[in-house]
Parts: sequence; structure tokens; C-alpha cells
Amino acid sequence: MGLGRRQAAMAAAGMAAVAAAAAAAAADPSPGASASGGERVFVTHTGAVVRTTGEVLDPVYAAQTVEFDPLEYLRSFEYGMATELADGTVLREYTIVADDDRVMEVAPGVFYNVWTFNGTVPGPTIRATEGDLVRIHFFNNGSKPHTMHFHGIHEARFDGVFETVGPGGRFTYEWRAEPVGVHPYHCHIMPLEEHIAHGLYGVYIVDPAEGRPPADEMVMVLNGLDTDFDGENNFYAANTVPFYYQHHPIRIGVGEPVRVYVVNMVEFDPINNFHLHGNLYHYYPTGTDTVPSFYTDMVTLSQTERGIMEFTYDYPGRYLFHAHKVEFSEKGWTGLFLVGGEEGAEEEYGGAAAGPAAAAGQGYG
Amino acid sequence: MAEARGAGRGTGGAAGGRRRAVAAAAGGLAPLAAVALMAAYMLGPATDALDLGTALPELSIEEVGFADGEIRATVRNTGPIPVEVAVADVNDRIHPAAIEPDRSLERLETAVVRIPFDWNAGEPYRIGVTVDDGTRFERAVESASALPEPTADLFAVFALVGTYVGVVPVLVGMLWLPFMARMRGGAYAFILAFTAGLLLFLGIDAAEEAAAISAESLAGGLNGLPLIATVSAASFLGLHVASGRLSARGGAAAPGGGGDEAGEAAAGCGARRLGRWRSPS
Repeated sequence: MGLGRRQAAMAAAGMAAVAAAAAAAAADPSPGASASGGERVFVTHTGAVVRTTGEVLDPVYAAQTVEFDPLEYLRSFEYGMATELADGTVLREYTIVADDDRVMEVAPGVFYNVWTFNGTVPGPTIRATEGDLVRIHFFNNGSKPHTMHFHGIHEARFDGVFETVGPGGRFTYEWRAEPVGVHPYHCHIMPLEEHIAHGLYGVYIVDPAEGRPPADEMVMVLNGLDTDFDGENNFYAANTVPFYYQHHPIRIGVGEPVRVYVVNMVEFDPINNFHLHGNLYHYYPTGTDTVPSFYTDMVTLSQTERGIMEFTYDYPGRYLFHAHKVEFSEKGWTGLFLVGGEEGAEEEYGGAAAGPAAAAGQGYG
Repeated sequence: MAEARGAGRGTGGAAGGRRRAVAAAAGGLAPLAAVALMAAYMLGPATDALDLGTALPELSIEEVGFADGEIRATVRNTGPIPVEVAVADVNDRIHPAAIEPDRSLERLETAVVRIPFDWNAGEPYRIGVTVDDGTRFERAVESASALPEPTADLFAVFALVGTYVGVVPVLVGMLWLPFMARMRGGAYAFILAFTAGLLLFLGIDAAEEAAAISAESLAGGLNGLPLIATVSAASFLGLHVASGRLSARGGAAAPGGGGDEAGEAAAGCGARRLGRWRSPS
């Protein structure tokens, strides 16, 4: 995206104009577009205000929701059912069910056959502490064979490659949680690209025994959707829904440490990347070391490449984060951190009907 | 109509007999031609009437226009199922847009997608539309240029061009009339044959152009070539009927007896111009 200051100001001005238009007319309940007497209004990238007698197609700025909630997924961690064994080891048991027949609204108005672990793309974020005994009860509720293949250290018989689990079948994976870091898990049935691109993946975090410093922790899976099966992604996102964090910014505090577990699961494209605005982050590749390797605002990630990013914002406002491969960001992989924002401010952003007063003056450059 | 026209002209005898024979033969062949045309529609490569596979959405972007700060794409649902338009893009990058009258398109229904966009004159663009099942349809434009505004200047220019290409050549041709009227049989026949050849050439050229345009811009579901054949036949029959009626009402035949054929040719050329004007650029 990378809007310049002038464009940001224009955008803010445009939004203010829309707010005025919306205030003048009784606001339409549909966000992003206000309506009066059958006429709707929306705002473009550059702040132009457009009126139409028809419908607005705006997955970019208009706040819209779909079945899957990326804000809820962002900070959800599954620690499993924990029991302490006789030798003091913590056993964590997880139940994961694979499905492949659901059609889900992945972007507003776009429906796609997702293949899921526990009903969502990405699947649940499985989290354990180094040395825990991890036991995963896997059920294949789909019509095709599936498995769970975890990156990390385990015995060959739990690798989820040759232990095909047919429709209606089950399998139990078990290992000591190691090494410390952030890892992906995914189905490993051929054709692998198909099983991954349809959504059978998730994040597995192994915390160090001594823990990490307190922070506002979140998970971002960078993924893509090839909705017309031509071998190219039609949409990109952090956590599946294109542009979601653009119109539902992630609220964080001023001076509050933030830790993002980032995993790149994009298929078809060789690389992806993560650029942060107005700040730099300490980057821990794969999260396996406690000393950061880089202090940067840009890392490039190949398939299943991942890491931990830590940063703190000193100044309040709205800050973009997005792929600096602009094709990806303009197809959905872009979002906003709202630093020190007021309660409910994220609902207002892009929602012209609600009056984007908060957006005016801050812009999003 | 051949009968009515023959009667109207007062011709008869051997010529009338031949016409009756031709009419009888045409009457016998017409149903066969209709069956052939129907088969072409039912079984043509573009038809899915007998396709038992999964019905897939199809959307055709028929026209792309460049207005002030806005790109307008006319889309038509040319598939077998209704579609909902979800996303618009320029050069495969998603942009907020409007769709009028609405995003739900029944079979053959059209809508206009308005994408606010600061386009650059002379640059190529690909305009894309994604429907509810995630399928994206695209139309490429080689070079963006502004839609003409209907100003007085524009009308003046078009009127001038029309005069140059339409009126002046006819007047120049009419200057030949006294010269041609003095011609003897062989030379006169040559001129007539030359004119008929020119008209035939125009007909073939028009057919070729129609085939090219339908291949480029017309959705497969509309069966381009059979459609051209059908419309051509219908136009010919329509003109024939109309001219027959007119000459029957007028009573007296035009000098030389070719007035209605000339009228038909002129009306046909006019219809062709009209068709060209409406065809997608």
C-alpha cells in the first residue's frame, strides 16, 4: 500500500466528507457505504468519494465480517487438556478433527471449499512448554485421507507422512515438545499443495521452560487462497480473511511489548514478507534462539518459514503492517495496528456510516 | 412475397413460372435449413445444453470504458447459473467499486461495474471481476482512451465525416448517371456486374468482421456463428418482405425494374452501419 502523507491526508479528508454525507442522511446499517434515498457512498484508496445507485463492492475498507473471526483467532492458544504424570512431566492432550466438505465465506461474498482442522483455517494454535508430553488424538472426518505432520523433533512413526489416515480413521501422535520455537503443522497427503492450499495447516508453539517475558502475544499465519484453481492465489491475508485487519485494526497499547508468532503458509508463490510501519522489530527466526538475529522492519519468508517478532510502539496512532510484495498487500495481506486507540475505534475505521473521526487526522500511511 | 411482387409488376408467362418453381424449391428446403440451424445451436461447440457436468458460472466483460477518474466495465452473466459479483480489480489488484443496478445477475442479465481509478491514457489495462464462487474473469484493453463526450463539436465532426464518406461519394457516383445511360449492352452489364461484385465483397467482409468480433467479444454461450447466420437470414427476409410490401403498395414499378432491389441493398448497408456502431470496440 504505502500511501504517501498527501494521499493519507486526502483519504482522511475523503472519509470526513463521507462522515458528513452519512451524518446528513440517516446512516445505512451496512458499514463502509452510507446510503440516502437509494444512493450509496464509498471512499476509494485515494480518498475520492463515489456515489452509486447500485451496490458497493468494497472488501478493502468497508468493515465486514464473515463466519471466521481473525481477531478471535489472533490471540487464541490451545494448551490442551493438561495432566501431571508420575514423573512430573506435563501431559497435554489435544483432539483435532479434519474435515474437507465445508464451504466457507472466505472474503465478503466469496465462497470457497475449505479443508479444516477443527473447523477453521488456520487450525487451532497448539501450544506447549518445552519437555511437555504432547499427545494429539486425530480424527479424519473428511472424505479424503489426511494426516497431521508437525515440524519439530519426533519419532519417524509420528511424522504424519506414511501413516495415512483414511476417511473415518483416527491416529494418535505423541512426542516430547521440542525444540523451543514456532512451527507449522499441516496435512502431508499428496497432492500436498492441494491439501495445504485448501487450508489444512496451523501453528504449533513450544515455549521455553523458563518462559518468555510478558507481552501481548498474537499469531499471524500468512496465507493465500486460490479460489479459481488456476495455480495462482486470488487472495492473500494474515489469518485467511483478506483486508480483515485493515477494517478491524488490532488494538495494542502504547509502550506495551508485542510478540507476534508469524508463519508463512502461502502456496504457489515462492516468497512472502512482513513489513511493519513506524517501527522495527526484533526477529527470532523459527523462534529457536533467545537472542534476536535481526532488528528490522522487513523479513522475507519462504514456504513454512517462520519466526517471532517483538516490538513496542512509543507513539499512538494507526500503523500499517503488510506484505511489501505489493501484489499480495493489494489482494488482502494488509492490516493495521491501532496503538493506544479508544474503545470501539476499530469498528469506526472504514465504516463511513459510523463517522471515521478517529481516522481523520491520523491517516494510514 | 415473390408472388405478390411479380403480380405487382404485372410480369407473367415464362418468368412467372420460373419464380413459382424457385419458390416451391425454397419452400421444400426452408424446413431443412431450420432443422440444420437448430442442430447447430443445440450441438455447437459452445453450447452446454447437453453437458451433464457441473454447471460453472460464466461472466463476460463485454465493454470497458474509461471515464474521468473511473473505469466502467459492462458485465453480462453468460453462464447457465445466476452469479453474484463480489470483487472488482484493475491489473489483478483489488479496488473498491460500485456495481449498478446490483450485484446479482440472472442469466444474460447485465450490470455496470464502476471502478474509481486514475488511469493513464495510452496504457494497457486488465479489468477483472470475481464472482461468488471465487472465479475471476478478465478483459484486457490494449490502450486506455477516454470515452467520447457527446458535445456539439463531436456531433459536428461526425456529421462532417458522414458527409465525406456517405453523401459525397454518392453524389459523385450520380454524376456518372448520364454517361452510363448512354452505354450499350455489354459495357452496361459490366458496370452492373462490377457493382454487384462490390456489394458481394462488402457482404463477405461484413461476415468476416462479424465472425471476428463475435470470437473476441461474444460469450461462447451466445453461439456466435449460428447467431450471425440467423440474424443475416432474418435481416434478409425482413428486408425482402418489407420491400415487397412497399412495392406492392406503390403499384408502379421503378424505372428499370430494379428499384426495390436497390432499396434492399441500401437498407442492408444501413443496417450494417448500425450494427457496426453498436458492436463492442
